[in-house]
Amino acid sequence: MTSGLRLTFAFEVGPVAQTPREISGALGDALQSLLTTTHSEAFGTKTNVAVTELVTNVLEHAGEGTGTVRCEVALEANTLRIRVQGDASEEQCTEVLQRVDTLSTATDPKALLRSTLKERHAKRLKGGVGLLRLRAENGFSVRAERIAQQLAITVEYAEGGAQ
Amino acid sequence: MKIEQKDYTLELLDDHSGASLSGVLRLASPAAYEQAFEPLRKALPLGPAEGYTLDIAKLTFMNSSGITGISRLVLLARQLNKPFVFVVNDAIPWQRKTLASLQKLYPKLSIRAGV
Repeated sequence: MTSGLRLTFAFEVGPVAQTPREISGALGDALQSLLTTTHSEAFGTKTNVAVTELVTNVLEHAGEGTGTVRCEVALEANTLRIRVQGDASEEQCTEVLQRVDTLSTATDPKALLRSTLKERHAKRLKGGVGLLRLRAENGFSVRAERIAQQLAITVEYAEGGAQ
Repeated sequence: MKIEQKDYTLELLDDHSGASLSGVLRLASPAAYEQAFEPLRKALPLGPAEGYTLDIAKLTFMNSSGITGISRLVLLARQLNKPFVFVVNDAIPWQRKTLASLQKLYPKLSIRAGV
């Protein structure tokens, strides 16, 4: 691993309505290949999981689908930061901000993941565990912010650091 | 029965005692997983009382919608009171991490290394 090496990557695609959903996985795979040549295997797999989940979320929920999805990946001093931004309605922003607040402050994210899976099964609700999985299983910190008519999600992972 | 898709393969044993999932599972939505896992949901009640074994040792990637789909299978097994065994590959870290969470949803879920 070359921990002193800095790497940044930005990707933007749109309009969302015309973007193939498979692009999230392809982007995740490509970044995993790239990062494992410069950093650890763990950074590569975590980047793949996070990029796949976050870009999929935007493609599935990005408002009217006329905007773009922007993904930025930065690796510096053993800290991986991934930020994904796209259009979102007021309602979506409110829901995601609440969800991120809950998972960020959870003292036991794994227990929260389990109870969420159970609850969503009982209520026959779809999805809703992607961000939780990043926090509970991959050790990412998660934050969300509303920027005008867009929602930006940033996840961060520090290798060997406390999350 | 063998179901081969572009990125993954689902193979079900004829005696309904188990199945294997291999490849990459990155379907776009929970609804797509409902459809993909339908053969598993149908097989689960038909197999032996000893339990159902799902071999995912060659499944390298699964997104969160897939985890939701898998958790629904586990909760169905719980409803049927049927033991559920996952065969995993310890070289693929997400498998044990994810399944450990599901294990707490159903104590009769067990995990064993297959590779």
